[in-house]
Amino acid sequence: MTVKSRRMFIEQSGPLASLQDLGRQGGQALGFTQTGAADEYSFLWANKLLGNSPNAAALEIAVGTFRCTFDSETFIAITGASGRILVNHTQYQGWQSIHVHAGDVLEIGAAQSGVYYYLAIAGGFASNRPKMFNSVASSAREFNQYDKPKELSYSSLQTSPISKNRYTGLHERLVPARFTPDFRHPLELGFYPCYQFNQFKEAVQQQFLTQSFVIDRASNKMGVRLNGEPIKAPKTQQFSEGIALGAIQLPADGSPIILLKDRQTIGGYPKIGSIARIDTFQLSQRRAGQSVHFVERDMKNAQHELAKFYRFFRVN
Amino acid sequence: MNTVRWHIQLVSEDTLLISFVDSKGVETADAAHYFPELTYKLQARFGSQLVNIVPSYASVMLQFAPSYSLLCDHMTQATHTVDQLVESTLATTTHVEITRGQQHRIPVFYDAEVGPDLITLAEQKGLQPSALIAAHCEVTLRVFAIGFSPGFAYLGFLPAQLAAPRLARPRQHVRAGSVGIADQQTGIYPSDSPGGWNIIGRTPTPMLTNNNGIPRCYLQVGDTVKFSAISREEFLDLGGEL
Repeated sequence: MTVKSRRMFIEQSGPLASLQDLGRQGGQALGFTQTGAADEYSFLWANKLLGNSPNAAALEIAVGTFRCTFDSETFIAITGASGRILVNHTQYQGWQSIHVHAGDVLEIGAAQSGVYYYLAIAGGFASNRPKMFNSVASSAREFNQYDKPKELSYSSLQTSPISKNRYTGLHERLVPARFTPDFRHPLELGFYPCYQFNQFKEAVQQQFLTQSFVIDRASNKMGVRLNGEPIKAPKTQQFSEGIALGAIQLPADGSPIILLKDRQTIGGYPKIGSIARIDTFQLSQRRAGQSVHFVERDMKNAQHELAKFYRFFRVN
Repeated sequence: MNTVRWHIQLVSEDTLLISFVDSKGVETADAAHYFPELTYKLQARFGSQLVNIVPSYASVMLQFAPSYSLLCDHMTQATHTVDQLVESTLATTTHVEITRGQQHRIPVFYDAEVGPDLITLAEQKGLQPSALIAAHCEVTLRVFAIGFSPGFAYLGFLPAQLAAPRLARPRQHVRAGSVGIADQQTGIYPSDSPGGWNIIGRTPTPMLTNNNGIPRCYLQVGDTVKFSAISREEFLDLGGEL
């Protein structure tokens, strides 16, 4: 039996559709951004629904209508943002596995809430370019590095790591309702005072933790900008330093910017602290105009919660 | 006598930041020449448990793999181990280890043909272009950070006579290999990109190479660099592109 690669043809997609996984393992010392799925929670559920390895490549889709055709039978799962999902004009819900056949047309409408959809496929998509730092992920902010695919390969069910039998009746395989997030809700962000926190005036620290903020339009996968009463940053001579995922920088205009997966590797603005990793995933799914506020979190507690999160999805 | 001190803090569940300060508690880049040795020691000690080591001027950020870091006991342990490694690195006095960073000589074709700001900058500084070039080739610079875009190295510090603010209007296209000045720093664009530095020349030496998906930077934080002026012909011979 010859093994042929199966293909998914992308007929329509917005400007932001790219293969993502859990992101680059290294490379920040050379100035390469981490990148990877903006919302790991939704990404990991999409793979889990299909029995894929947690780091299997899935398509991250933002902005506009997405349409593609499959050239052979397989299973897919769509998680993340919510909107209309059609397979040959039949409507489906997100957060479940869907059996598709040769010639089926999948259409995903512009998101009604949330920002990023994840489209995973049984066995994962194959990337048509070499991995970088053990990752297929690419970033829109890196010149010549962004990969907006027109066509993607996937393995047939027979050759995918999971046998066909396992998929019998998988239409009912869906994420329990209590685990599906609603991205329309105001978001509470777990906050760790760190970086230059102690250099901010006490009144400013208090103000930061008591007021709520509204997400600015100038937000993307690099960072989310917040509007509110300006937060006065200390005037310190500051060398650029490494930026952790979720770090909150404060430019002179007093609008905090929370840095996400496509952030710059180093930066010189004062930082008031960082937010919990899991909350960065939720935050990336929020839109301009939605509100957020900060609540101080115990770091040890958050480390345990994150450990539980990655164990649940069998990451490492 | 070493007056550089340091402190270590958690800046995320799996990430530590080592910050270096002087005797007055002010951030200092004076420990940057230890970064290659420190990076070496950290890699030897933690191996693949350490996903990212990001040195930059007065700090080194360390991101651990989830499997290692996510039990807080491990991060407490890691902080302790890192503290000891920093201490032993800063106590190092042997020449070989301190110079684990490399010394580079980078050829540059300084000319208005490839350096659109060379003449204006020389005029601004009240120098002949040849004097500006000589001064730029005179200093030994250190790589303090790599960032902005992949492989973009920040070299410092230039004498005040060469310092110049960024362009008021950044260019849409700066060619790969362009050597620029911004404030008291000089940098080399590894790839074609937008940019606001004052461009005075171009090097034929590739700053960023990609070998089967493994990108490599010609420069590492902590290395030292001296520039040398080459002719148009030498630039082309060395593979430079106009």
